[in-house]
This record gives sequence, C-alpha cells and structure tokens, in this order.
Amino acid sequence: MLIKLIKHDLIASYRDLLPMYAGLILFAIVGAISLNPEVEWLIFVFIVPFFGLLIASAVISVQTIIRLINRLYTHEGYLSHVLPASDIELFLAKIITAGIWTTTTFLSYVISLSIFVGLWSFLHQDYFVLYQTEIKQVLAYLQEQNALVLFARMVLISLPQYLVNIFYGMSLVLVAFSFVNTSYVKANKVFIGLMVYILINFVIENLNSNLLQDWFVTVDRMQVNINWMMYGLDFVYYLVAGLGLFSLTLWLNRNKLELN
Amino acid sequence: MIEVKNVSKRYKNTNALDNVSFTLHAGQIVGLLGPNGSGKTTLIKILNGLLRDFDGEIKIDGKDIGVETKAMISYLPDVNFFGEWMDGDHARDLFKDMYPDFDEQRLFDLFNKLKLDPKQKLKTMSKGMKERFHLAFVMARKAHIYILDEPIGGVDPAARELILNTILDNYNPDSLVILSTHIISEIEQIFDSVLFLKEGQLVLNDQVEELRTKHQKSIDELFKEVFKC
Repeated sequence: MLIKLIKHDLIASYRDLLPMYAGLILFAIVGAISLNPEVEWLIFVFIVPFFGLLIASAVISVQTIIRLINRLYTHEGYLSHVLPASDIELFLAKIITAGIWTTTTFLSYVISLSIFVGLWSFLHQDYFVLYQTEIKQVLAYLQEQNALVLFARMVLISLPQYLVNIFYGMSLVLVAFSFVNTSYVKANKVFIGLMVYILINFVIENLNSNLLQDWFVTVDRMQVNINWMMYGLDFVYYLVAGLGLFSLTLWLNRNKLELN
Repeated sequence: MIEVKNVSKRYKNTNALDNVSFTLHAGQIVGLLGPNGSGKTTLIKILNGLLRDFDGEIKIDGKDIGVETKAMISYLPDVNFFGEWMDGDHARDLFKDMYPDFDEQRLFDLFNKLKLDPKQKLKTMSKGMKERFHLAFVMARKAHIYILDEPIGGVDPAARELILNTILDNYNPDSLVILSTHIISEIEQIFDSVLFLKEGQLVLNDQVEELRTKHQKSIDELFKEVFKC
C-alpha cells in the first residue's frame, strides 16, 4: 500500500515540478549559448535571472510539498483519509514523496548548472586560452589532492544527514498541519500552524546548537576532518526529533482529527 | 453490521451528536434523515474516520474504525474528493490500486449511463457532472457498506431520478446502504428503515413499513411532523 500511495502522490504532484525542471535546463542552455564573455553586462542579464530561477524553483518545490500535505486536510482529504491505508503509510508516503521531489529539485540544479558551465566553456574555449596556465595549475592541484574522491566521500558522508534532515523537516511540517486540523484549533489555522512550525523548529534547533558542536565535518586544504562522535550524535538527535514529531503526527490524527 | 453506542460529539457550545445509539444490519437501505445541522454529516464523518475526537463506541462488523472498516465502506461525501486536475482515467487507476472490490467494467457502464467522458478533466466539468463523476466511482465498488451523504441535495428533479436509479441499479443487495438527505418525498419509497436525527439526538429509528402502519402517514409527512418549527 505504501508504494501505491507514493505512486499516486507522485502522479498528483509531478505536473507542478516537471515544467520547472525543464525551464531550468532550457534557461541553462539558452544562457550558455547567449552569454558573451566580452560583454560584461550580459553576465547580469543571464546569471542574475538564472540564480533567480534557482530560488524560484526552490520556492515552487516547497509550495508543491506543502500542497501535497495540505491535500490531506482539504476536500481531497475526504479520499485520502478513507483509503484502506494506515496513518503510518499515509504520512510516510508524503515524507518519501517530499524527499523524492527535494532530491530531484537539487539534481535539476546540479544538472542545469553543469549544462550552463559545460556548454559555455565548450563554446568559449578561446577565452580559456588566456588563463591556460592557471587552469592547468588548478586542475593539477585538484588531481593531486584526489578532488573527485574527496567529493564522492563528502557526498557519502552527507547522505545520511540529508535523509534524516528531510525526515525531520517533513515530520515538523506534518505536525503543524495535523495540529491545526484537530479539535484543538477552530480558527486562524494558517497563523497557528505557522507559529507551531516556527516554535518547534526554534526549540529543536536551539537545543541542537547548544548541546552539539556546530561543525562536525571540516575541510582544510583538501583534507576532510570528521568528528565522528559529533556526527553520530547530530544524526541521532535529528532522527529522534523526527521520530518524536512523526509519532505526535500519528497521535494527533488518530485521536483528534477533525476534517472540515 | 454497524453498532453505534452512546456516541456524542460536541462543538464548543453545541451538541452535534448527543448520546446516539443504534444498530444497522446488512441487506437494507437506511435513510439518515434530518434537517441541515441535525448531525447527519457529523455521524457520517465519524463512521468514515474523518472525525476521531468523539465520545462513545462504534463497531463495524465487530471492528473499531480503521483500515479494515475503511476497506468495507464506499463513501460519497458532500464535497468533491478528487483533485481538479484528475480525469476519469486517473481516478480509475487510483481506485483500481486502492480498492480490491473496485469493478472497472461497472465503472465503464456507469460512465456510459451517466454520459461522462473518462478523458475529461474535473476542472472542466459542470457541478452536476462532477457529482455524477464521484457517484460513478463510489457505486463502481462492490462494497459491504455504502454511505452516501446528501447525494440528491442541490440537484434538479431529473438528475435526482438518475442518481437514485444509479444507486438502486448498482448497489449490492447484501450490502448496507446509508443515505442521508433532507429531501424525503422523492426518495422514501427506496428506504427499508429510517433514522431521524434532530439537533444531534436520534428521535426515531424504525422500519419504514412499521412506521407507515403505525402512524398512517408517509415518511415525508412524519418528517414534517417531527421537524415542524
């Protein structure tokens, strides 16, 4: 049932996001072709809107995820909540779908930026001749330091943290939405939901920064230093916080749900 | 099949449901009758697990409201529950995946009968078409229980007849049908029994034939008498 729920959540939301991903890639291609390094002001014409587009796509992604969860409590909730699925499956499907979209949005950034830089560099190879020596030096240094291995290592190290942060973040959103759709809240639902989200996040983040060291991964001259103890503690902290919030979501829905 | 014991639901200063108890068995069509605000929708939402903060106890086929009872009930709420972006094909895929008792052929027949196009998106449909669209999906399930909240409210008499015929032609005779309405005259002939809700209280629960014999009145007349201002 969980797989089916994820499938239909993806179907319900992909229309909002796929055109945005296509837009990013299209803009990267057009930008790379049009950007002339000789004309400096053109940089602003393309670079600024490109980063604007990245920010806009982040906003659209967040909106899509919020809408996905909001569907549980609007008219579509009359279907979601009567499906023969447990609450755990229902909410887990939302978290996994949100995780998939967050990841694809991030990947669309990486792909579109790579296209932009790669295509522009290919089209303006002459421009690099001027800096040939410097570029060779940088590349040699990166090669010497095993930059690719370092990058892969960083990605692998970040992955568990990334996943646990999605779980925590989405559980927090679910708590806020669930709370305002229970018998506890009768009016001003948007305001109360926002306040609940900000308050819980404030408490959890402050507690984290007071209890745990901020930086458990540092990179110094291509050397990665990891404080594994702090890394583990931080992971467990957000996992426990996420599980707590997810359990609270389940409790609120099981005992106090009031669909209007 | 459905056992409701001392169920109460309070909103701030009003009792939406006040100590309501009844038992309903399979193989009958039950009219859940009462004027607007009498507690019909609240009771229906509780039966479907959409309102979970209430007092009392409900058993459906001996089970608490949960995954198993949701699989047994085909529910038509008084709102459109499909996303506006959906068309008949999307909705069919969803029901096919979710409900083992969904009958695709029956849906196809219902779409033909109700003059619906499976390729048309909900956002381009009229209000009446949307209502028929939702009804088709609810009746395309071979469910144990059908709960229909105001299926004929706000539609013209011709559409009412079509909707009632759709329900009668497609429900499983061994199942339990609960149909809430405040329009009695055109529908009372299909009921086997009725529940009258008034200001959250169950004021009448009996077989239709017995009521007619006992009071020498139609259910519509009885309704007007019970709910006269």
